[in-house]
Amino acid sequence: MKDAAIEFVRGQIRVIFKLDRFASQFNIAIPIRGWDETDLISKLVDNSLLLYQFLELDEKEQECKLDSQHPLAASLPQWEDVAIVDQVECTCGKEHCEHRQAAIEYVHVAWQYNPWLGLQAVGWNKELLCKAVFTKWSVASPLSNPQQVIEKLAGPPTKAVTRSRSNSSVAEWLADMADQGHLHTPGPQLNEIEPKLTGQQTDLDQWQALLPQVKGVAPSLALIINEVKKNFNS
Amino acid sequence: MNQRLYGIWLGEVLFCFSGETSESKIDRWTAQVRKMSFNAGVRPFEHALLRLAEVRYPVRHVQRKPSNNERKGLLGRTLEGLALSVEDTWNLLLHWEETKIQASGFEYGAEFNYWSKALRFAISLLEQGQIVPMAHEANQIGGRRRGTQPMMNACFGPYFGNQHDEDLFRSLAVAMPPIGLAASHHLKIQNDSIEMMQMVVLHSFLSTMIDYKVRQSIVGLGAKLKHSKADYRRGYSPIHELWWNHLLSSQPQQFQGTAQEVEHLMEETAKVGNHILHKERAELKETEQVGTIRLCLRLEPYQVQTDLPSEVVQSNPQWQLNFLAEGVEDPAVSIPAHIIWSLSEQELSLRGRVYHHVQQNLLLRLGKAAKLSPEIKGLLASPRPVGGILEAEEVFNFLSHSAALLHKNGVTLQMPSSWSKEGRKKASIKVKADHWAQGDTAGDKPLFGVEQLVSFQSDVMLDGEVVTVQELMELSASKSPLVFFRGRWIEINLKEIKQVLKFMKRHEQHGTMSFRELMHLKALEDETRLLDGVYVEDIDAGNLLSQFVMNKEQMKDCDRHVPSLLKGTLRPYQERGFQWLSVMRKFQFGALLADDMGLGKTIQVITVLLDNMKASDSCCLIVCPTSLIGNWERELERFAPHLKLYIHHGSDRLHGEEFARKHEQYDVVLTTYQLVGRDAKELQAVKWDTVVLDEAQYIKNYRTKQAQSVMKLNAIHRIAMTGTPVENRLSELWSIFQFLNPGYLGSHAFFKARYGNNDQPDQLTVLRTLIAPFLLRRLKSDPLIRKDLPEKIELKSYCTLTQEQVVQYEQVTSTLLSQIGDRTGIARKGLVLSSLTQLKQICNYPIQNHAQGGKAALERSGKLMRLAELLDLIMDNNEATLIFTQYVQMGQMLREHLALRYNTTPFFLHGGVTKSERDHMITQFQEGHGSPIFILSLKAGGVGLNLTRANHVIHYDRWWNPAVENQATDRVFRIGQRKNVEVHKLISLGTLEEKIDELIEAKRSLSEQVVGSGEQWITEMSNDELTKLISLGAGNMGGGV
Repeated sequence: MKDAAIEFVRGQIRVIFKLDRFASQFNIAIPIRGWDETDLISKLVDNSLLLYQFLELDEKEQECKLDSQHPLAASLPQWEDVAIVDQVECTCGKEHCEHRQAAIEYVHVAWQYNPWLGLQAVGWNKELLCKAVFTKWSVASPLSNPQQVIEKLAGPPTKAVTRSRSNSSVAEWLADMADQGHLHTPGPQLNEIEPKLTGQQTDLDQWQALLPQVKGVAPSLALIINEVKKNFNS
Repeated sequence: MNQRLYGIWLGEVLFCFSGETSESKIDRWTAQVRKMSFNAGVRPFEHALLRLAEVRYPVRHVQRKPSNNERKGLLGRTLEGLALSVEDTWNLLLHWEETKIQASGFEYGAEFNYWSKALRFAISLLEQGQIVPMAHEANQIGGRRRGTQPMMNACFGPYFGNQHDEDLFRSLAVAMPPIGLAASHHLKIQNDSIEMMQMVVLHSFLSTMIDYKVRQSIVGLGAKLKHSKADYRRGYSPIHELWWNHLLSSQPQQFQGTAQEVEHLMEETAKVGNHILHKERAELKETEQVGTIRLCLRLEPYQVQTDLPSEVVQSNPQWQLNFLAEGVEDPAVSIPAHIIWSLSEQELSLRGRVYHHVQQNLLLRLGKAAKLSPEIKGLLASPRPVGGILEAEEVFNFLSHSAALLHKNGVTLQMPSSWSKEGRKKASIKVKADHWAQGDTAGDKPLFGVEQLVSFQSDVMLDGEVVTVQELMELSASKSPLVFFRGRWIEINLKEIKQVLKFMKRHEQHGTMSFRELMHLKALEDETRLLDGVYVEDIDAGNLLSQFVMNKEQMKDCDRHVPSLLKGTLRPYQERGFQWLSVMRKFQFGALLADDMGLGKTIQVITVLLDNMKASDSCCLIVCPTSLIGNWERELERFAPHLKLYIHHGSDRLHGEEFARKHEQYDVVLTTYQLVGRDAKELQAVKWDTVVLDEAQYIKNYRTKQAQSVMKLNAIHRIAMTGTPVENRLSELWSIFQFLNPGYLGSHAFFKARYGNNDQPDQLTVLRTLIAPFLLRRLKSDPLIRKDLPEKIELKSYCTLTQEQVVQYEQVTSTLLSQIGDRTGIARKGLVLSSLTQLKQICNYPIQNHAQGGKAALERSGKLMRLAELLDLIMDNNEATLIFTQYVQMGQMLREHLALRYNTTPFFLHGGVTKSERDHMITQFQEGHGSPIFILSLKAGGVGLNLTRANHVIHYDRWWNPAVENQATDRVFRIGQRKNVEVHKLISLGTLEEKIDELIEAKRSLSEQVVGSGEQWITEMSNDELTKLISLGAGNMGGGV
């Protein structure tokens, strides 16, 4: 099944696919039943490590299957429980079309490999899940005046140090960082950065427009860019 | 791990350094780092150039702590390191392997991981073809502007065409370790926000790396691009075309354009290329900044209320580990996790920043930390993780394994101050060096001067407290760095303790070190104070140093008697100076006598030379400026007539073997700096007893042949004399010390790098401590000195005639002597008086062609040369002076010459000045406005004026009437004068000036009567007397060299 795309709308999964490049595009809708999140939320609320591990799973990754023994496995929405397979509809118009079964199989496999697909199908995503857990944590021990408490801990509101445009602020910031032992430490997000670029290149026509009297600006730049790419991808 | 490796991107090179400032350590580091090799035989440091860079880098000084109100900032220091070219930087970061670095014995800064990742990012950009042409001003990254037009660069840089790619760049920039901005001034970006500066540094790095690789591709394309070049014609084509042509060239080159053209070009290329920095600046609004949080772990002893005996609690202590969220950009933001979990909102606004998804971010940081630390993992299996209790064993594991990993990954660790790296109980030694070692030799070679050995005893210290070796041995047996010692838990460094124990074993009874080492240890007050690799907490060298460091009151252990051969009496402070010089001689330490001018340095040195004469058969060498030869000759004659003096000067001086043979017949050889350079062979072949340099600042430029020749003189003892505040003139100081005690202050490059930075007052304190034992400088203003001084000091300054002056002088005397026999009465008197006037004027300056300025003028008159030297000292000491002359023309000439020399025109009072002008001059001078030099003609300025701002009076020529001269001197020496007054009388040697002066001195009691009527008495001399008086005597040094 090539070029299939899955869309999750609350209460429904839509699969859009083509069988080959000459075939028409078909939309298949798989209805989804309501699901009780209580058990999953409760487990995540009680175990912050589980919550972290779960949040770490990439929604977009194809394979991040949870082991059947994983503590959360049983609490996630199960395909068999929520997918209403006998009410699947296809836009091809044929009464017994093969697209429906193909779509069911395709979504089922994807569902097994990424638990976030199932959660999205029942209307949950990372943001909502976090909100649900953190709200429970907050309610468990609420603060009467959070802003006051925090300002008391961090000092009075002040203009952010980085807005300062004087040289001394850099020196002071470096001194603070050195005092903290962080002079050489990269920011904590360094390890999280994946340099996955989009591949979008500069608009060559605009460079040609910048140099109207010069012939072949765009082709020359294209030549250079392609040569660089070739050298780095070979 | 005995070496460190840090790196900073400077715009064109990656500056790698160790953080060390000691020259020898840097040399060792450089040698070791150059050997570092990576896969595929890559040796990025092998050919890297050594360079200096100004880096904001911390040094922990023991004493300097900021006061409560002081805003502390990291000061810039000049550090030496290796500058990696773009190619070497590429190779280093591409092959960067932590294990390889560690295996080479290096502890590296985590910034290398960052730059390695940045390089990967640059490679991704290249792989995706996300590159874009750019134009930027060359001086933005360290280039120079030539003329008024800005220099430009054409280069390729990163292209970010959409929000996603831009965000990636921003995230990477914000993750830059703070040290990335420690040399941001090299990229000239000091006035931006920290986030913006990080982006500029990263962008500079990416652009440089990308451009380096794109140029290689351009080379590969060769002729394919040839036809795409613009037909650029200067003055006709837009600058864009010039930029385009540079963009297509294989080597990046700079080009120029008008400011307007350049601005236009940069604006347009930035717009088309979607230049992220340009965009960022344009969009920069004074809105709330986005903050980032990091995980902070706080570990502290768990206080538990218990009835158990304290021994039981101590033997099984527990520790509380708390989780906190800390602001990366603003560490004042430090919020305990339980507060974070209690927040109902996911956004947190604090101190000008908004922190998004604060709970989720804290949880992510905790989860990542759990991967590195099983102790943290164990505390996360609960809701609302806030930390927990750790058992002693867990704490041990945590500190010995997890803590370093966590720290490297951006987690802040807060521990009891005694546990942090800074607060860890430091094992050190306390040194007591109070006597000289017996048998000063290094193998067979005897040790002299600063290399002499000092004997020391050492005590063991732990965190500033003296402990026994036994206690330290018990601590070293501990398997944990956490130990219960003297009633409390402390963290120790086992490696350090073992080093101290090893040191103690090696120096069981007592150790030795050179005096030079002792002084350097004494002067340093930071963590670099190491002896055999062990930190020296305290040094007691009081008794030893008190022998050299001049106590204001008195020297200790001074047993030298002033030699009876000295014809004169030393003032008390001069006697102390003599004692000090004697002690310095005893230890063969080069001595710098830098007393204020007028305090009598010469007599102190002559006394010590006389004293040495008894003990040594060798000869002494005195080197001075040409203008002082006469002075020395007279002073030696006056105070030490027993010393046999040979003046090595003039065209008839001895050379070669004759010199070698004959110099031994003398006690003192007197010569000039020029001749030490010219006759280096003869003078360096002699083993002198003592070499004295007068006005030692003459060797300030150590690169000159003259200075080099002086350095190579061979002597048992070396003395340098100067009246200038030499301790504030670093280049002079180094050269003089290199002569006195070679190598004591390190190489010139090291010295300049270490002490030449005005931003480091602490380093100057170190330097002052280092030189203190070898320097004696007393000021006239010191109350203790002042009480020994008369209120008015009269000094005769002898000068020589130049060849031109000699010729003119002899012409006048020969004319006079040939005509005098034929004249009688008034005609004779007239002839004598007119000739005397001419002779006096010649002594002042050659009588033809006065109108000459600058150096040329100076070289025509020995007296003017001497005046300039005196004035240099007076100006250096911020004092003021009057100069009296009888001749208006001379006064005018002095005024012009001194205005050129000191960039301020002296006042000049003569008979032609109106009363209002005179009053104005006097008011200006007295109130400290304008020049500190006041020239007066003796007749116009000799009486009635109050000029007490000056404390020097220079009689450029003589009146030969003490009463008249005293009246002039009294313009300064009168009520209102708060300083001691110095009267300098300039006398040309061998001329009638010297002879008349001697005559007056010899008949001092009669002088008032004899000379009371001015110069008339000379006209009454017989022809023979007159001949003797005016004939040029042997004393003059006419002819120079």
